[in-house]
Amino acid sequence: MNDFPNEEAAMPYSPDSSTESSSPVHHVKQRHEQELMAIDGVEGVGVGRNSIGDDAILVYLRSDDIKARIPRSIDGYPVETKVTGIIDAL
Amino acid sequence: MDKQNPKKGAKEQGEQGGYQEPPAEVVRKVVEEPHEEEAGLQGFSEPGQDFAEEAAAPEMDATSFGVDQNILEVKQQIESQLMQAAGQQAAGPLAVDAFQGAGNIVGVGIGVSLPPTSTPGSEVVSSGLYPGKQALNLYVVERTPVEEMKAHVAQSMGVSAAAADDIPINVIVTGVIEAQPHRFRMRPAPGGVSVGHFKITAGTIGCLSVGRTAPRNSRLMVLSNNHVLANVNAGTFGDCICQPGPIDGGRCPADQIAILERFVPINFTAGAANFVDCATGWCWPDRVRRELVHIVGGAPQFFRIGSVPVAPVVNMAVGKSGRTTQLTRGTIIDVNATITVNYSGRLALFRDQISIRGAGGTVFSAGGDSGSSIWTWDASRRPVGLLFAGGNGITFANKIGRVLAALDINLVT
Repeated sequence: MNDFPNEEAAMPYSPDSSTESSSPVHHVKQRHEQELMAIDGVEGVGVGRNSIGDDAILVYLRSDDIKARIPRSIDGYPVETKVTGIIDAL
Repeated sequence: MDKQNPKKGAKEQGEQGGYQEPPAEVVRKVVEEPHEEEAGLQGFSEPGQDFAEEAAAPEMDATSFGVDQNILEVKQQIESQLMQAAGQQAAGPLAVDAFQGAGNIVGVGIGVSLPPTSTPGSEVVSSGLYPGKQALNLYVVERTPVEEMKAHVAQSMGVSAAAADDIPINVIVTGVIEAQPHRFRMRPAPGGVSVGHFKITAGTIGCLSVGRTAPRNSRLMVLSNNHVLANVNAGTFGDCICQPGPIDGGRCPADQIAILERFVPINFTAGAANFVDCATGWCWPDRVRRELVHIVGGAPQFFRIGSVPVAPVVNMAVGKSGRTTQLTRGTIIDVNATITVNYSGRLALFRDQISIRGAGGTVFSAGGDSGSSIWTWDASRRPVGLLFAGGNGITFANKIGRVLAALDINLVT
């Protein structure tokens, strides 16, 4: 009972990022993630589907006007944009 | 119950027996340390000076405002009757005739006479009224003639003055006024309700968990976010966690349910990757329960979720129960999002996140829902994610498998 009053609560987690999904669309997303995130107003990049169900690269934007700076497709995959604004911790 | 004495109570617990209580030494430390400045609540003025001035001013007095003394007295008598009735109702389910007679009244107030159709969705049945005249407002579940309501108030409630002809009454149909139990204190506390480290505002209890190895495999723990239970890296082992969270009125130690046990630090270094925003609070077993809660017809209903995680896939239907938006349904639209998340001005990069859109254009989450567990919208309700962020109608969640690995826990559901 009194063995752990000074226990450390902070426990870092550093997983091997190769545990992330490895399908072709995920590879494309991972390859282009940095350059997309470097665009001012891009809040995130992900993998989902477009409106007709094809695999797609998702790009989360701070505002609608940034859409013009995002390519329509990347390495053959369609790009879908979503306006999230700044993503806040809830 | 035994709020002041955290040591008592847990041992004889049937369903959640076998768990160890948080250590007494740490608890004592916490109890003796009243919360200092509440970082999460900065920017709010202290109650006091501003109000004190107003209260001292004679024209703020209710009677000199011109409130009719008879109406005020009747209102106060009905109010005390309602408070007594509320105390009795809380003890058990509502009876079938709960809304008949005086039970029809769900609220009381003072207003001015209302024209018959002034309130959309409500019907007003007035007596002895003329425009601008003061009146007693009775809020009721079902439409009832005003003379009948007067009789109920006079007889069932014993407020005979209400029957007098010179007490004008508005009968306003509101139906059952839905409370927000997700923000209230509940014991034992289920998943889906307000919780927080004593220095934050409020988040949500995701569900319960247990450590995978000794000594943590004898600890029953609430699962939520680091920014809910550990004040964004600032918390230390033993810190008080209260239910409801401080912004919902929770105080330490009176409302304490757990102590901070473990958290995964959020790395704000540019370029550093985070995968989870999660923490555990070591509970007194008798203060929590494994079910989640949602509201049906104004009353809390409890339900269980699965304990074995399932990997998210795009288009999976999911649900969550949270402190702010309560029970909601949504669809997973992304299973590998890399996002920048704003923690009150500090930015952190998160990788391999789930994103969710509310079903049918609804909102899946809002501020205060952080920490909610996200589960498959089917009978198995298998855990998928831990809600932590959002923007403009899109919600982001950690993958639950990573959360369990990072905290070295299993779910207790």
